[in-house]
Amino acid sequence: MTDQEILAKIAEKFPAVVESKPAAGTLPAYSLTVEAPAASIAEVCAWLKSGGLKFDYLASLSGVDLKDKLQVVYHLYSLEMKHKLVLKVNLDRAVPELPSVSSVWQAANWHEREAYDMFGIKFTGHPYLERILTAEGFEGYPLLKDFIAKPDQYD
Amino acid sequence: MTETLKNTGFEEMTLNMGPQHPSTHGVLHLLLKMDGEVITEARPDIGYLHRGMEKLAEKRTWGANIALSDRWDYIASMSNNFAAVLGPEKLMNIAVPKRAEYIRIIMAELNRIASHLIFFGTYGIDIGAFTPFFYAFREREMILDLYESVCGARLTYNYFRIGGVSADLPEEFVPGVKAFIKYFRPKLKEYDTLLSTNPIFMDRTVGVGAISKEEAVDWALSGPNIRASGISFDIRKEDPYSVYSEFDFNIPTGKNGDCWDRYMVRMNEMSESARIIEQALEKLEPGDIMAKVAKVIRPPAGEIYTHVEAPKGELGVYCISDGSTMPYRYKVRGPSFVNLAILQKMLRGLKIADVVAVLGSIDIVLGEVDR
Amino acid sequence: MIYASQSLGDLWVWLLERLAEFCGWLGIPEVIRYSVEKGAYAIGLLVFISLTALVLIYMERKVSAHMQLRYGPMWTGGWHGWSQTIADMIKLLLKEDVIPDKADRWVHRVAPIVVFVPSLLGFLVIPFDKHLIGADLNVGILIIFGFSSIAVLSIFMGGWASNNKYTLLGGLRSAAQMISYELPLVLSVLGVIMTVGSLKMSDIVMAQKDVWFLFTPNFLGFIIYIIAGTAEVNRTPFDIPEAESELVSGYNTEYSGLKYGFFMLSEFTNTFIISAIAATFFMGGWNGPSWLPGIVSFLGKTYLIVFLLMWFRWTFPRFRVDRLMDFGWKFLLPLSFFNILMIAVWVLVKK
Repeated sequence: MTDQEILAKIAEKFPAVVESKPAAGTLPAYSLTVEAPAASIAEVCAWLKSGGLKFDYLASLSGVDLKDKLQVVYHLYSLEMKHKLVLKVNLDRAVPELPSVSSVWQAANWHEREAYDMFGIKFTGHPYLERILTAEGFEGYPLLKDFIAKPDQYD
Repeated sequence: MTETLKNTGFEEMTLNMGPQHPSTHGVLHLLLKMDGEVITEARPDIGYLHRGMEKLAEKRTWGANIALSDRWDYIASMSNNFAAVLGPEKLMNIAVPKRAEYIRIIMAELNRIASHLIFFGTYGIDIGAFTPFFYAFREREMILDLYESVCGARLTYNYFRIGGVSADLPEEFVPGVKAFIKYFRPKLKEYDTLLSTNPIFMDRTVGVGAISKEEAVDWALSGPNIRASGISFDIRKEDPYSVYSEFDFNIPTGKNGDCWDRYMVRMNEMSESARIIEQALEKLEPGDIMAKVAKVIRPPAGEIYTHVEAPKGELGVYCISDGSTMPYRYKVRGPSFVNLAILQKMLRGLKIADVVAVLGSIDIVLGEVDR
Repeated sequence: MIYASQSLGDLWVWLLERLAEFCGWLGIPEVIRYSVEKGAYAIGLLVFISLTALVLIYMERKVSAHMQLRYGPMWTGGWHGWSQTIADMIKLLLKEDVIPDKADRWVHRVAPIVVFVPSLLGFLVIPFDKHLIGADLNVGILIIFGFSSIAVLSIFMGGWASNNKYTLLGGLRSAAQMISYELPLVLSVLGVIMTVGSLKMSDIVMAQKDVWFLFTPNFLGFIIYIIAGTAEVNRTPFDIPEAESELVSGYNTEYSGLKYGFFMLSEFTNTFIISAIAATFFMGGWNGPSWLPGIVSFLGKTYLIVFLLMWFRWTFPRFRVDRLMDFGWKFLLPLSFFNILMIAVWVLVKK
């Protein structure tokens, strides 16, 4: 399926999901990139998986801090139909919250925990949203651009 | 707690397996709730080796990140190098010279053999056979010697460069690799007689920790783990990077997705890697090893997700560049991290002896899990 | 006549005769003569056991090393690291003896003694040579199996008293395993006992003057015996009580220093006993070519079995605990019953 066909299919079902245009002066996207509103991300993902597009493989889920907003980027792949999709969700920096997709792809479970750990993005409906990589009692979200590392006893 | 336990008044036992334990392959901490020897709940606790690689990457130049990538999966550093250079190369639209491409593939495939050899050795120890470990390390030693002759390092190679590789092959390298392949092929049969077909080994691994096709996809397993479940998913074929499309090789797959299948897939992959190396050696011709790249690497602003088939699975790097000398965001999708997540589901209902069999068969490296 | 003989057993008998003459000449009571005689044997046995343990530990190191493409210890003491075991022992003696805080201190202390004493007592009834046996009891073999059963208790004590989950699991596993494998072990030997018609060690050895039981229908019993014996001494593929990769070190995880040394020592002495019984029951004991001293023949056979057990250990993976039970109860036990039946028929036919 070509990118245009995929885009048309998504637009038909979810008009709110639009192709994401790279900002001026940046390189064009290497694979089809769409943007979805945060609130409906769980439904969009559930449909992407079970609908006609069969995006059954969540390759990666990353948090990104764009200074004015936070972003969650899903890299999807379809093992059956061999096409890829990059799904982006923009979040308000003050209240970074969006529904969890761990019920859609189990693989999202740890990815979301990692994004929570690093960016403080809250995935509502996640079965066990706890810090995963940083130590117990760690304060702050280290991958945010405004995070200042405080020297500890070892520094 | 299960119903029977509640009724009889017996207690459930909580066992902290790791972070200091002989067979958690580093510093993995498994929190096991057990009914006798049967596990009722398992929770992997990771992060003991967390070094903040992604944060560090944002304060290092693109070139320096290759050195950092050596420390993700430290027993397959060449594959990490591969993943680290692909992104900036694509962003900057660099054409890597042919010779460098073949050298990269030889290195990556040798590294796959070395990584699977470590798996073979440590898996033997997990199951209780100590001797295979030394046999595996005998062969791995030769690969490390070859690497040492090329880049001077035995573990953290830092050999790839954006646009090529850091040094040309020394004279003795190509004959050395040829000799190694010739020596290595019969050794695979030796491993089979030593461990693969041993009745006790098969008893411990066949049918244990089976992952169905659906589960494997749902948990986004990659590498030998998903192939053992019968899905022929290999980035080298699926989304060929570098010059992999020129090579003729098979993708070994399993059927049941149990521990033995995962083990056998890796054993078979070693001979396929040997085939790729042989083909690459034939295609290797004198030429440049570095493309013309500016001294200061400044990829234009943009983003890209590149992935390679590392020995453990899909190693993806999602880089965002803002046009400066350092990445804006550098997300590493480590295969071990993703593969390990399924453990919490698989272990339920198994015995404690199976924990090591299953954990070993997933083949994780904590350096990559925790990053 | 002592010069004509090559046998250590004959020398021992000759010495005893001289002692008796001497005592008679001095008028020393029989009780004291008997005590001196048995005391001397016991001291000799203790020296032999310590030496055996040293040799076995060194042998294990070297056998494993050479199977694993290594050399093992090469420098300690000069020739091929011969004094490595002694150095190990000194290290063990000097180590701090740690008792975990919440451990049952008394049981924790007693367990290594309980494991070691029975394995020493087992040596009493092993016929090293003609006449060279601590006590040639008419229930000889039963004594050994009786004592080896006590070892279960000590391992369980050690595992329980350490108050650690790994040791507890190891102790429970070993209790289950050793009790299960005791049955086929005893039953496999029963075939030989039926053939000979006696439990006495010397009778069993004498019965194999012409042909070893290994080369008779008792061969099946030998196979069962070796398998069950490996399980009885907790060696790979049946080392699940220790199971390094699963239970860290099993029942002896919390032991250190001399107490750990006792556990290790008893493992090696038990290995020796199991091998010695195999040599006695199936390979003719001290029977051998006339030019070879009986004790050399006996020890040679014993060490052959010891080597076999080491070979197992360094090539086989480990069983899983439930499969181990299945194997013991569902395969080995019926097989040993079949063995008994077969031997019974054979004995009848022979008569």
